[in-house]
Amino acid sequence: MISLLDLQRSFLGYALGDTVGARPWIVANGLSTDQRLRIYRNNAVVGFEKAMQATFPALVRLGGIDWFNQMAQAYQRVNPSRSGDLNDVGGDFPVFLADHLSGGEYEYFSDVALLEWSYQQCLCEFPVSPKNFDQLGQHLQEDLSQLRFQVAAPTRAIQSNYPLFEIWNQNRSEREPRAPIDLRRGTSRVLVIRRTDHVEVREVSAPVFTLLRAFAAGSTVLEAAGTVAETCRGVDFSDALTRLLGLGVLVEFQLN
Amino acid sequence: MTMASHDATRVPGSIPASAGIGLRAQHQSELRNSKPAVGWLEAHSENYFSEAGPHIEALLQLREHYGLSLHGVGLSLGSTDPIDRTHLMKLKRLIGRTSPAFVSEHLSWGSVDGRFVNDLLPLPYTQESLAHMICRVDQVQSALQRTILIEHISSYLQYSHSEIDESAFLTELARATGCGLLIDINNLYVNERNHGVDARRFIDSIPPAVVREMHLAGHSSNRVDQSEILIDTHSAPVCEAVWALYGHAIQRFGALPTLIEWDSDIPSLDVLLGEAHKAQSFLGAAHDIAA
Repeated sequence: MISLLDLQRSFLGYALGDTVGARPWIVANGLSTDQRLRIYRNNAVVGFEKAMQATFPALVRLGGIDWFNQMAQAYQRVNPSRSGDLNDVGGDFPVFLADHLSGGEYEYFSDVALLEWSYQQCLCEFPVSPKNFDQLGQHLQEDLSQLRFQVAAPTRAIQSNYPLFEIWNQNRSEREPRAPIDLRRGTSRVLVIRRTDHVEVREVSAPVFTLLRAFAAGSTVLEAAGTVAETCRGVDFSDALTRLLGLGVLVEFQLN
Repeated sequence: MTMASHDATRVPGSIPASAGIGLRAQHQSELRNSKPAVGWLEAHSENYFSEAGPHIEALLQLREHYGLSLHGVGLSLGSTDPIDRTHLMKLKRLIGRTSPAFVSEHLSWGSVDGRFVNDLLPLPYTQESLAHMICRVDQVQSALQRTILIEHISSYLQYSHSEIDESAFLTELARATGCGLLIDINNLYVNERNHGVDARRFIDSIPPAVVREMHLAGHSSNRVDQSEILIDTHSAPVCEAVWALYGHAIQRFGALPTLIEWDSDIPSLDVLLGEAHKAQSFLGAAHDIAA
């Protein structure tokens, strides 16, 4: 008699499409064992596709449902679900698409996938409001080499070689009107921010984006100013900091 | 990061012996606004594991008005892999946040060697499987510090080496672990049609004392070559044969909380409530007879 472990390995291997062979431990009863197992293989594929479609709706609109399902199936073969919660699948899909589409005309699809995954992640996290900023003014006058900001955890920053926000915004729902987008417009920088009752996606300037990333990496204000000056020449640093503070994504500050 | 949780008031969970409906994202807003008269709600546990977000917020708000049952589909109880402790702890946290009357899972498996198909796959009914399931249900109940309900599944194949009748398997599992049973009437019907398992005999052989909840759902019919096979799609109204079987189950088990499950091709809330009202009329008739 086949052990439970061996049965499960053989069954699941078939359901995920990676093995073939006789399975005498299944009763045929009018259908072949393959026909019976194929029902489960189909369920595994369709369930995975539906979960992916729910996470990446803009990508479905961009590529079409047939292309998307084909990609989802290929992704499932190399990245099968690792949890009993289908909401967890899709985290590696942006990298998977980047590998498959790199250098081609649709390589921006991987950035769209990263934005959509980030959106879903932020949606499931608690919003965090800025606090303790009353004393900030005086520290900005004197302690820049020791002053650090903490970035709200439910915030994601994405840089793309394409007009990512525009692409996503035009494809996120059936209701959005679609107009031609010039993909050669150049680099764009997008923040995904968890607000109290929604997730905000917005495009930001290069200095604001650079500053946010520097703070997220633990830089002091002085260090961050240096990074911004290096990468965005001629930029008014205090203006960039004011704009970043206005976004509400810096939630705390500390000295040293 | 420390945040105040949005937990509902922790009322000891209880649900009446009435008809409930599955909570689906499409109906959350309408349910919150209109709060229709329905006995209770059942939520798929995994859809509410996140800390925050619109789904868990809707559930917590609705929990203030409705009794709740949490129905898991992803614990993979019958798997030979170790129990996923992260999944179990997320379930425990959700139970703490929502105080459900029932927590249920399936007599099935869906993963091995860390790979999941996120489906309810059938177990062979062997002594090895029974001992394994007893151990797993014990583990889960111990971790959650409460009894759970186990639901038998619909299936599209049977194993040649199964040696225990399914109802006997479930009865022994309940006896050995103290777990309750969730009897899905549609699953019994689907299995009767697919495998020739006598659904009424199954019902008659389960001790009424261990049954705590029933499920009703629709299915679809597929043709494979010359054979018909029923698929448990939860995508249609409950068929007349299942209603008839439900009447038989009520005679056997008495009036119990009964869920209308509808998970794909989801209809308007009115249609779902209509199905619940029909189930309620069966339960009402049983109450009248008992009185």
